[in-house]
Amino acid sequence: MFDAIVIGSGMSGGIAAKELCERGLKVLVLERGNEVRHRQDYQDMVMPWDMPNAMMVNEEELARDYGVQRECYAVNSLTKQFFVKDSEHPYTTPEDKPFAWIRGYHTGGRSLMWGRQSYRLSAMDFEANARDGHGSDWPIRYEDLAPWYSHVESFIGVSGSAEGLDQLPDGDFLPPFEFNDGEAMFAAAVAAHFDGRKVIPARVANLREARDHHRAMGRTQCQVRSICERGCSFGAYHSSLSTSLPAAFATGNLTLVHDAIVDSIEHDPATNRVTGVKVIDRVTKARTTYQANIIFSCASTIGTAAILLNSRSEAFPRGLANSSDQVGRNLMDHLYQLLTVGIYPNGPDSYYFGRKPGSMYIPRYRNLPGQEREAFLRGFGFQGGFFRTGGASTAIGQLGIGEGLKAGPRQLGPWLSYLGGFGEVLPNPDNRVTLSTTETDQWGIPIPHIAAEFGPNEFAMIDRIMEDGRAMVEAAGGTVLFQKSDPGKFGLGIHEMGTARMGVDPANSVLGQWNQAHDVPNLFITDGAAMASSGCQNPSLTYMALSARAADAAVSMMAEGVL
Amino acid sequence: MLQLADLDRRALLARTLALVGASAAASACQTLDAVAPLEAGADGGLSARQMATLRAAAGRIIPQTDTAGAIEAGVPERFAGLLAAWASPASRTALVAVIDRIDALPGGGLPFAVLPAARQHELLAAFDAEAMRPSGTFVLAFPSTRELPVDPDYARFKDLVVALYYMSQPAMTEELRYVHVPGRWDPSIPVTPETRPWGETVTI
Repeated sequence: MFDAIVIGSGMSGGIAAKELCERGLKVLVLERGNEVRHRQDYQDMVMPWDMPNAMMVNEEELARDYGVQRECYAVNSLTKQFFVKDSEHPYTTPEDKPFAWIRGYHTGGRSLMWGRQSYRLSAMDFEANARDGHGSDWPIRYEDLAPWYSHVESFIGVSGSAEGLDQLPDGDFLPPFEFNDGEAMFAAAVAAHFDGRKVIPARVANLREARDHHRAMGRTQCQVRSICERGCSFGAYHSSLSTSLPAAFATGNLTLVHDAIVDSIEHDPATNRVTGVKVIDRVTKARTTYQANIIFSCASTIGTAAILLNSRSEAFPRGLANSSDQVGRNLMDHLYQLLTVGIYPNGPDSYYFGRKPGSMYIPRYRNLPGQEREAFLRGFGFQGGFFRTGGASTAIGQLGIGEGLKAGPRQLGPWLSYLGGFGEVLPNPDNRVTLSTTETDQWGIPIPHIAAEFGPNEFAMIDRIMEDGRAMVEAAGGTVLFQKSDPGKFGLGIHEMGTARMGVDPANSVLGQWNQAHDVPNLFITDGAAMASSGCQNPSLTYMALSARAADAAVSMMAEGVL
Repeated sequence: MLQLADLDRRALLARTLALVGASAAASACQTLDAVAPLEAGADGGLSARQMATLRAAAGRIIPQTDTAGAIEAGVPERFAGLLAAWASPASRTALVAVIDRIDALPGGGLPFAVLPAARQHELLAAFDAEAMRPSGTFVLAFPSTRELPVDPDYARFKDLVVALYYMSQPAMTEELRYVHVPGRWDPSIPVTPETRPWGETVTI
């Protein structure tokens, strides 16, 4: 019997476990995947010329086992062990609604491979549902989460610059990775041509400098290699493995069990409390039930929804904590892969040393309070890159052979930029996860059926994203090389969220202001499922802040005898 | 500084697709990778003649100059290794067929591999010029579309040779520059005649 069970060791679960352990609870973390050991199981120290198959995954293996994961930019022969084999973890979608579910099942989950972009939601974001009527009103506002954003940023280490923007609040930052001269040129041009629009250094969970408490955990400053998704032996970016779980283990209160796939959560109707978690061993398929006083589901958005839906009972015929019928619904992601690529023949004649782990970000500047309303609701930001061409890519696809071909790559070429729009997706109850009634996985658990599509608001936003991308490139003296205006598949943003959303009204939401299930007081959900709206900001920082806040609240409730 | 007018626009587009495809959603900075050492016996099933043709073709695509060329950098062996460990049967068939077509280039009755280097260059350059002509057919290629050359199999063969070269140790450290652990970020350094681009990931 544990004080708390946390389902999932990833981005949310790691923080929840740390915060619960630090408050004296005996915590069991159940991780469905295999163990990955910090440093020992990373391949970041392998020299480039010693890597298998030019970093390519065997073609047949890629097609057979990674049919969905292969769509993710981070999949290669050095990282494939961090991505699920789709052949072993099937799901279904309607034929006309493809969904790319990118994930990894191992210690730390996707916190090992994430892009580390860390942005706060703003007051405007927490008010959005109430203002325009889409989705459930968030039961919290920015002021409620602000101290927890600071708490998490300080703990994990986020590099960024203070910009004073209401729509993208500043955080508790380490120094930013400074702009290279191309980025600086672009930022100056955007500021000069577009009133109130800013290009800022990307805010990334990398240690630009290591503070004492980072060093005390064995983490050191970022070595500027930009191979984070392989795992970092320097512990220089935040992952559950480098940061949260070690902190939890240091308390002596953590038990971490791997290969523990959660089938369902047990509920006692007499007390209206969840009492335990039914687990199937990934390898042996043996079944075990673990019990605890409180349960945090941090199994990721679709994982949590599937567990709740599979936890039907007489008390909850539609799934645990689902009196609202919102579990599985309101699945959101971000518009993604909306690209504008530009080339700058007259950029600054300079270069840079190092491969910094984040480039530039353009915070949302449309549909801000007081502005004229666009043809769409909500808004978008851009993540971008700005670098000198030259080297190997100069020769790929090039006509000619011989000395002429070889001469090109040794010269620095023009600066090139890409801007990727990240657009907010509205909550839509028909975008939902259900469980198959006919198919199960190899552990006998019904597989998820994911049916989601972008709506009219998203498509109206795309035109503006493309227009603005072009305008900014041209304002900075660039020429647009190409644009991609059809978004990546739903899910490819890898920001899926919303399937057990927070809300004021229990009739249309699953969780209250403390991420506590309206229906079951000792069940907490703090992964992406909790999100009532998506914002346009990368969401992991918000998941972590919600996890820390909810853990603190849960422990207080236990101390007060409420739980 | 290269001028935009100096660059073939289609080739530039192909280069940027390769760059952006690897990192479109991540930071602008390049990750690095390279090639596996060739395992003993991992010759991709190529005959001695095919291996000789591959070696000769690689040496003409990226010749030795003041720095190592493809042969010196071990590209032919690494290419054969890819055939053995990476390529699907369909890819292997297509790539080996390219080697055979290069072998069959009109060398006055002699195989390509035994011709003088200058003649090899002449034949392969003409073959390349024809094969790499834009076809007018576009295919979806993340993150955008790519115009296929008239001979996409040859283009893929050549791209692999080029990529394997630039991901070899000699190329990354002598032709270009590479530091595995930079240890610092310096956002602005002057360009000098000695400046070379940093080695980078090549998405093929």
